[in-house]
Amino acid sequence: MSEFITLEKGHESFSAHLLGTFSKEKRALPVKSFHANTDVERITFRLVDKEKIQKPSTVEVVAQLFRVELLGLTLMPLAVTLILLWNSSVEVNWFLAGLALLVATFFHGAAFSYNDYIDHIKGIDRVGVHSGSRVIQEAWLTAHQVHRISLGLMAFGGVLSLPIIYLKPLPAIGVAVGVMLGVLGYSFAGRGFRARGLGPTLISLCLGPLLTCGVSMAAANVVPMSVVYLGFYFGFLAALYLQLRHFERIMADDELKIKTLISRLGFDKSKKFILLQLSLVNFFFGALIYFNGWSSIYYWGLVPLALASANLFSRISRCQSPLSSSLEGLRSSGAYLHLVASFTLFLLLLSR
Amino acid sequence: MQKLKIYESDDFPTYLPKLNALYDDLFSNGKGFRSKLIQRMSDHLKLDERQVLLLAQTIEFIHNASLLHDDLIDRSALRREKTAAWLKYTPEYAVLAGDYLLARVMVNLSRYGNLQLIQYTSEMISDLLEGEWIQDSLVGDWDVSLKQLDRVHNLKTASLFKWCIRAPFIVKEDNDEDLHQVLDEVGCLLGLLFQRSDDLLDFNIRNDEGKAILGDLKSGYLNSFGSFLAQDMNDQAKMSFKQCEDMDQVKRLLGSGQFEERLKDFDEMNKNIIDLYIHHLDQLGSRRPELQPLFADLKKLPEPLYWRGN
Repeated sequence: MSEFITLEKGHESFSAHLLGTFSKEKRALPVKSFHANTDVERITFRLVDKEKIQKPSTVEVVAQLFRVELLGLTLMPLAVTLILLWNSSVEVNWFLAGLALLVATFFHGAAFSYNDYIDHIKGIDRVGVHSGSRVIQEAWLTAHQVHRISLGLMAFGGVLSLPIIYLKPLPAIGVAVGVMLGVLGYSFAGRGFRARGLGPTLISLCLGPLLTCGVSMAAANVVPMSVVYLGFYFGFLAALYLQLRHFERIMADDELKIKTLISRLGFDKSKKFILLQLSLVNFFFGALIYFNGWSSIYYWGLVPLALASANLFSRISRCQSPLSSSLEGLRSSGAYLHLVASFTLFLLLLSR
Repeated sequence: MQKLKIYESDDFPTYLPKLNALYDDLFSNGKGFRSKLIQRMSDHLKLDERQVLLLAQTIEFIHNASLLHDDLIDRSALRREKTAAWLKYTPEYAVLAGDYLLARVMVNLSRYGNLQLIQYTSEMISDLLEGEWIQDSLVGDWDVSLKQLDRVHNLKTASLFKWCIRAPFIVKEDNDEDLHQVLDEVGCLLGLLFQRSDDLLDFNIRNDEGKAILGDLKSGYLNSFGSFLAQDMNDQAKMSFKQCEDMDQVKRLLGSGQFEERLKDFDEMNKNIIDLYIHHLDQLGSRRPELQPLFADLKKLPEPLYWRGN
């Protein structure tokens, strides 16, 4: 027989159950919130023995919390920019470049894990929308642990960023703000931006030109036009990722009255809009090579990209319902497409 | 419990050819579970006869309207062991008869005059239709997950059960928001249990009423238990599952003893839902002690609803 307990916000054990600190042997899984995110919130928890929870390996848990699948959106624009600068024979301060990559990694993990913690405390993850890493909801870690991890990552990132801030304050702050705003545009906390249709714009700027130009300035004191073009391409890919995510959640967002660009367009028009953008991924890749005057061998990079985008194209074309199985995991496919494009560029530029 | 007469031929125009014959067929054999639930709720809340009849008719008219349309959409030949209305009469009459029931609901409710009830009922009908629409869009999707199906069932099935639980309180003009939030959740869980139990009938589990076997599967629709069985199948196994004609084939496909194991897991999952349902009723009972007899009565529902007991 399952064990349940319902607690009101003012109850002395409420926070302890929500944070997971009420017991060493048990975990409290929130199954239903009433009056979520208000002063009169009431939560029904299912109590489970910690030893009965089927937990994956620590590596898997950390990877999920860290959103490793999304690390590419943050790190690859930085890495490709640095390789581009090297390829263009620009003098790069590799110490600062390496630090920037590390700092971005830690801030990425910090932002997403903190987002998970806040969503859990505010009850966003209990309103029927399955977002976030699910690490807290599956009781693999408590909210308290996730909070500590996020603060720890932020602290590490902060310490590592000190030399960059000291030597290159403006670009450093620009990149950090860019990553944070990018995550905000992605997360539920940024629903205000999404409500005004600014989510994709924010993401495309912050995980695009702001990131590439910022790291170029920080590591090389110069921003060539090729870096700007690259930034806009990455911005386009990041915005496409976000739209795929919104398309996956189109029904849930509508139920929650979150008006994203995708939910405003509706199912049929969004599908066409996304399919158009998937076609443009390849076109813009080609345009990037052309306008930068890169070797025509680089056009071979279109092969893996075309395969990845064709696969996604086919999946979305088949989709007939907002609850279709083709939609499940669409955001992961978007992240994969971003990775294919960026990794292809990385290898092409590395080959000189 | 006194048997309520939901349908009276006097309530409908006799000059419309075949309408009353169609409704006679439709209302004659139903189990009337929803109207019985209304009666059960109303007895405890001490609603008068007129109010009970209004609520019972409303829910049964809406439910049966959806059945008329469903049978045409699915091209089902039988309904309650009789020829389906669209086949016996015409598809046009089946559609219009369903629409007429919904129109009659609005007439009855607006004459009664409880605006909140009218508003809630229209929202429920809207949810029901949305659920039907989405369910239809999932036909042929053999990878649909249980989680996605639950969202469809929440709209299609649970919306009516939520209505049965909440509407009597609205008629009583008890509109406490907190109470209704919990009642909504209780209705949702009840609806989910009902749907899952109904889906088990399709696999001949606790099928005392003799419902046709594998009807959903043969129509290209993966129901909740089907989705649960298919979740670990590879593509080839799913193709074979799709083509199963009888339960022997299903059990052979899954492997010896596996079907029973999976059923046990499915039942275990639903026992957790029953426990949660009872927990919410206990919570309601402690918040509204004067209604404890009602909630104690509602606690008995999972037995007939899910386990198909008495």
